[in-house]
Amino acid sequence: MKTYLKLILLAMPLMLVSCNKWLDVQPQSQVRDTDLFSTESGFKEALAGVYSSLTYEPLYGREMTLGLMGVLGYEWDSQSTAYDVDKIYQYQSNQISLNRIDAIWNGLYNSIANNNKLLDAIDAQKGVFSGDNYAIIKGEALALRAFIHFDLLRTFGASYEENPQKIAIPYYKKSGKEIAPQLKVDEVINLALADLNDAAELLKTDPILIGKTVTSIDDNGYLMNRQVHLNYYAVKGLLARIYLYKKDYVKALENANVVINANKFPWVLSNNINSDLTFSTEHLFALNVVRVQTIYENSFTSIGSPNIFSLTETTKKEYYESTDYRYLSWYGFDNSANHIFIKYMQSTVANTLVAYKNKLPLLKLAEMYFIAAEALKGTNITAAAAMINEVRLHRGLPATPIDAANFDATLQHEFRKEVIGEGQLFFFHKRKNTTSIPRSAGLNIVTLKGYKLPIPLSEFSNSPGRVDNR
Amino acid sequence: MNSKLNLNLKTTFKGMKKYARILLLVNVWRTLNSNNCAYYFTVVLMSFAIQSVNAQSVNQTKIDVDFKNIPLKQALDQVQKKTTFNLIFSEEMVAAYKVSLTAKGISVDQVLKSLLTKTDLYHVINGNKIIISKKAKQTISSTSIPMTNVGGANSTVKRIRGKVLTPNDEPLVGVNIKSPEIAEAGFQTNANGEYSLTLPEQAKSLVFTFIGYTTKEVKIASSTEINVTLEREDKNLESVVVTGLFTRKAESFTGAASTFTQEQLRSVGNQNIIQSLKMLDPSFIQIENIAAGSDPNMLPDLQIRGGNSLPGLKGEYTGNPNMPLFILDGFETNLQKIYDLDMNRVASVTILKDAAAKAIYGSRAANGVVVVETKRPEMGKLRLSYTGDLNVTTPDLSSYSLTNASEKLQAELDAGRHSSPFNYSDQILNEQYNRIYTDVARGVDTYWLSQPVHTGVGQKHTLSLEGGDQYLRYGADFTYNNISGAMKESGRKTMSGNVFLSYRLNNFLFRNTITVTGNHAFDSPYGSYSAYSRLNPYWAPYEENGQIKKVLGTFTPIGAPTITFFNPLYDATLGTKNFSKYTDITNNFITEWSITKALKVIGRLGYTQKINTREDFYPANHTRYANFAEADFFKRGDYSITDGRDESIKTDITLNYSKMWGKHLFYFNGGWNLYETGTETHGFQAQGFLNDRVDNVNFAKQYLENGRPTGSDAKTRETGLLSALNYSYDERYLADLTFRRQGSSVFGSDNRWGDFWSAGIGWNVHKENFFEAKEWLGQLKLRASTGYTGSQNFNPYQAMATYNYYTDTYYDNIAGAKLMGLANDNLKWQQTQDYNFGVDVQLFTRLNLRIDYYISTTESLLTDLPLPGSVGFSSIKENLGEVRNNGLDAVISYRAFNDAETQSFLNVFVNLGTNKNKLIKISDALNSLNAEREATDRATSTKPFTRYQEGQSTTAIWAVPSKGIDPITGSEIFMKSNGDLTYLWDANDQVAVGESTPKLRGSFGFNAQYKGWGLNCGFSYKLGGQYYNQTLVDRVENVDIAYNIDSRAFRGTWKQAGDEVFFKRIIATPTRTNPSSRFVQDFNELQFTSLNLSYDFRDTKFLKNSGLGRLRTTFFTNDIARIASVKAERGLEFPFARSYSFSLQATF
Repeated sequence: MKTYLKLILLAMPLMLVSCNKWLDVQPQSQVRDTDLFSTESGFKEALAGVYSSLTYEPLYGREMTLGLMGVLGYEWDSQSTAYDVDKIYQYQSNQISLNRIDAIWNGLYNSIANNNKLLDAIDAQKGVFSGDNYAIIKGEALALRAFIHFDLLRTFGASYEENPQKIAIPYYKKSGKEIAPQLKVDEVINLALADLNDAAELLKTDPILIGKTVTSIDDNGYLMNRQVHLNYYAVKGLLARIYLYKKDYVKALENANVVINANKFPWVLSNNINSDLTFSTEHLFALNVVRVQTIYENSFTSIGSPNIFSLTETTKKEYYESTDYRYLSWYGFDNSANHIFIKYMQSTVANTLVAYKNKLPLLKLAEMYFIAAEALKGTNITAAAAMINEVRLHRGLPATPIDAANFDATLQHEFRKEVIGEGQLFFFHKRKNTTSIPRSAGLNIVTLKGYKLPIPLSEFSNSPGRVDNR
Repeated sequence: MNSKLNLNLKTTFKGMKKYARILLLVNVWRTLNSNNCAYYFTVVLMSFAIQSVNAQSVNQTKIDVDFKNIPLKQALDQVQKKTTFNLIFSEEMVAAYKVSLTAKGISVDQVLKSLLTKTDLYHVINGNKIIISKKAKQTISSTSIPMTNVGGANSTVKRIRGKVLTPNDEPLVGVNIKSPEIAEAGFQTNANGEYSLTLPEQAKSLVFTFIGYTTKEVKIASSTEINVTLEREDKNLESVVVTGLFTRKAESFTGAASTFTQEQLRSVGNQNIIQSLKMLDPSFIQIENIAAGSDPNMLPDLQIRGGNSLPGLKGEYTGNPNMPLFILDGFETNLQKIYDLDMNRVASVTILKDAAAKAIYGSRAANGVVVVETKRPEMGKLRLSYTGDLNVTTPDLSSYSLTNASEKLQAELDAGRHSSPFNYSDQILNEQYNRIYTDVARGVDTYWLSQPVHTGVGQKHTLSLEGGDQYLRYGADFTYNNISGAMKESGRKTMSGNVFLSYRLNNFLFRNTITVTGNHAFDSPYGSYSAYSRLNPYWAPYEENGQIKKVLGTFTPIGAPTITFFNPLYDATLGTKNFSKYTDITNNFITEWSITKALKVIGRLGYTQKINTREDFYPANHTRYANFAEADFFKRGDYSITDGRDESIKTDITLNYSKMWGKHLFYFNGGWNLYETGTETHGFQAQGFLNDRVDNVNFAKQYLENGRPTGSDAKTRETGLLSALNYSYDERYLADLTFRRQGSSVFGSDNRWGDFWSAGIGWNVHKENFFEAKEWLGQLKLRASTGYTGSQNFNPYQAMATYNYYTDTYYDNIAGAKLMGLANDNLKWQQTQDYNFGVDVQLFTRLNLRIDYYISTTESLLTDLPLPGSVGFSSIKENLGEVRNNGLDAVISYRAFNDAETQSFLNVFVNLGTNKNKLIKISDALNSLNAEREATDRATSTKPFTRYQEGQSTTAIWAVPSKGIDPITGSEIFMKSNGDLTYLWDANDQVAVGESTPKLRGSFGFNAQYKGWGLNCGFSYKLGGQYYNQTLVDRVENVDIAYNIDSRAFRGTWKQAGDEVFFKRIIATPTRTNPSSRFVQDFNELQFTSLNLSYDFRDTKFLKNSGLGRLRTTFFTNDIARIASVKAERGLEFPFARSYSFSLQATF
């Protein structure tokens, strides 16, 4: 009997050894992080989740593109009264406006936390990936981190032009409850550039770069639609955008040229402009937004009336010449013959290519030409002019004479024609720290501190040491 | 099939010898294992039926015998064949004899007497069983010592022999026998319960004592044979503390625990255990639910010794965070099971309150533990018991005081609802008034409160059978409980069957219990009671032809669309369905291995599975769809179904060891346990039921528009090691030590394991020499304990980082995963440190007193720590905050009268409890939560809500101090926090103006018994708390004149300058009255909670002639009357009810 007892006593500690593992319960109705990141598809889902999180209205689904950013850039003639205070850059005088801005901050940082969670896990799980997927997914995630942080910087931080040493936003490289320090503008930019350079290195195997044809049979077509992912060229394009923001013209040109010279993003053909409204072949990076038709209907058609974003006939005429592809394809009329913006309308024609659908462009080929033009302006005005005219050519317009004197005005005009509804115009002005945005009735945006949206109050109350970004 | 089975069983019974029943049960056991429960029940019930039908008095059974010099065994076998009796004997014992007997129509008793006369055997008839044993003389002689040295040489000696039996006629072994006149010696009964003594002449009486049985004293007189039956002492349960894992002698235990027997539970009510416990123990508190009233389907909200957690926080907890842990027969269970448990099955309930008592449950114990032990079958012949209850429930509407039709119409007129300064409008309003007036004049005055209620009649039947011998014991019971609620067609039906088997083999004991419970809880189709209390009395529910109205009335205010008032009674006729059901199967298996006398190992394995479902259906004609737009016509009607499955498995191994060295006594328990519990649910909603005749979900037109299926799961695992040591020196100095190391999946991965412990000391002062001789001091025990336990009633996955999937979008053909929150690997249980100081006193054997004082501090309260948005999430779960409860529990009982002769007594008892709750520390998170909750609440509710603030109680009433109504303006004057007076209400000026927890609460009453009559009476009281009189706010001051109002409305409202009144000025559109100290009233309450009268037919001729073992009838009434210092409506969604019941208990 004593033997039995001894056996029992011996067995007890053994039972406990395996206990810790047993205590690690895997939920059924939700997926444990460790469980998700145990397979390659888990990483794909987590990455898709980060992209998805950007597609909603509080972020790129509206406010970061056609909504708040469109209003701030004076892209529209009329919009919802909910933007009344934003229109005059008095963000803090209205709770609706503050809530919208808080949602941008919290939402983008939530995407970053999701993204970092993936990056925290990926290196330990290198073994679960097939093909080049490890490098590509990690490269994309690094690029996404830089992309989102850079947009946060462009939204909340001072512009480089204004003061690169001003304290701006925190840059998170890890997921968790640790609070990252608030960094200066150029520190954030450098971290973003570092992430992008790492990403470019990892994306050397990107099918779009090496020219590998991917079909839907390969890995369920995972690497087929590179333009809705931050692919190699998108990273290069983003580098060009950031270097330009940083006024490093050499690097900006270098990176823009990588994209331009790759010839991977053909200009839209004139006979496609009515079916491919966003000119999808030119997208370096566009969000794949399944709900884009809903967003379009709520933002521009009578469904969202009266809170819709619209341009008057006069403004349209001021922007465009009559042969402009964009003039021809991006504007239409609703049933009441009101002028509406239809760039994001989804074709109901049966055989519309999937590639044309559900796209919200965030980085396009044309911007590379504009970046190159601006980078070349100081050294070679002719080449710079050629860059701008190249874009005009592919928009159904003749070349226009550009010299040092009218360069800035021409660029600004060409830029806003191209990016309407994409939210880039406000950042264009912010980059240059323009005192007053055209059509803003002369509001001095610099003295109003309008370029720097206020950081949410909760950020100050819940993390000691945060300083005012404005 | 049944008849065939019946036949087989009969043959089995008649044909087999002494182990007939055992074999049957073995068979049953096999059946059980094959999971064929229905068959199983049939078998058991049938066996019972045969038994009872054939159970005849031994004298009535006449048989013919014709034995000619045949072996005794053969003769006995034939007797058995001819009768239904079981003859129990050993073959060896009877082998030596041959018998002859010829007789016709003589009784079995006589037959056996004749057969056994010439042998050294005798027989004992024990119900259906006839036991044949060897005569006592021979066996006893060796053990009995003639007391030759007693009483001197001249004394005459007398020899006395006899037998000591249990009420079931089982022999009692080891009964102590003493004669009070002779100090020196004592005797014990032998293995057959027999004794034989030689006593000196002066011995006048014998005293029989045995643990667990009442002591009996018998006069010797001239008899030489004294047979004694000792009654089981139910109270004896109080002398042990059942912790669920092991038992301790109460005498040597230092923890605070109180034990109640079934008898005690029944003395204050027959509804459910919870109902009774709150009367019996002052620290066991049921939070009164004013809204839910006496809804039988609403599980009560319970607390032991105050709340250790902050209720109402966002999603941290699963269910009530202060809910105690429930243990049923050593296995963890939930409140619902205890609520539905048939009280007749309960042997005892123990409430473990302090650390020394509850620390063995470690991280789940902080809220206290309720340990329920069910009855185990007793040895003996097959016994059948039946308990039947007839329950009558009547609604108690006395808290309502609403206007009648003419008063209401007058009130409307006074409020200016029917007049306008503009002629045209005035005319329209007057016409509407006239229409109502006509109705009132022709006598319409509907008492809406009585429309949806009725006198519910429910019944409960419990049938149980038990029996067995020292090897095999069995028990089975079946309960049907149909509770009928005070709202029409509301109720709860529970059917439950339970089978217990135990088998002892050498030093192994195997026990298995399987319980199957089916429950069907249905809500009243009449809907919420509050809908009726609002309806105007001048509306008639029926047309003149008796047809039920759909629309009760309309009203068209000036400049606004017509308002239509619907009849909720109409909805009740439509065949709505609102019910939930569950089926619970529980199997518990226990093995005990007694290695030596002192060392025992117990292994347990328990498995529970519960399948539940909830369905709600509203047909298209329901008035909730009356205002649907035409386009939504086909969306009328809703059906929602939620299914769920709970499963839990638990196993543990416990080692019990006891040892005595001189005066040192040790009890040691060590153990290991493993526990897993999981829940999953899924559900969906459908809409569009095109006609009322169908109420099945498959008639739905479609799924709910934009709806998605729902689902959830929760799984918890834990394991731990336990050791508990109890030490006593000379029964005087006592100590308890408990240690538990426990791991749980609920905690963060860096904090999986927690250590919990307790230490207690005690001193039995009355055992000291200087008190030993003092008759008046029965007991004086001092106790002190401290320890550390945890609570983990929170969402099991919140320490983890989990992902969900986007269901409304996908990205590049992949459904994206979304991180739900940040993991907190450090998250741990809430830790509670308890201190308990107690004293147990018994004086003059009449007065019993038990007082406990406790301080319990809970640290690391689970709350949200706010994070800056840049972290990506707004908060993380953290252990922050501290709350303290201290208080006193006292139980006093006094036996005012006692007469053993007539078994009469009068017992008076008073229970009192106090509890003070204080938030010591809270996190900043709670401050922001205060503001957040306020922002949402202020817009919708006039109710005060609890703000969490350091130094305040978690149950404080918060409101702005009011200086009353300004006689000049009729507006309320508030006091700002800086002392300024203002007309403006500001949430930031709120202070704690009252405390909803009473200063003192408890119960008192008496239990009396005279011969067979018993009378129990109980009152409960609450003193010194405050109450926010919401009725005055909503029904008097801010009345919505469109609906019925309290009869006090418009009395004492400000009308003109100079009025010094309680209520503010009422204007046509009532303003909201925000929480104001004006409505905080002192709350004292006395409730006549229970009264029951019983009669036990014991010792009556009727009982003896009827062949019944026991018969008792009881009449119960509960919640009879209530006096309170605050006049406010109670029972808002479901009325409170009084209950009356008649109960019959019989044992065959």
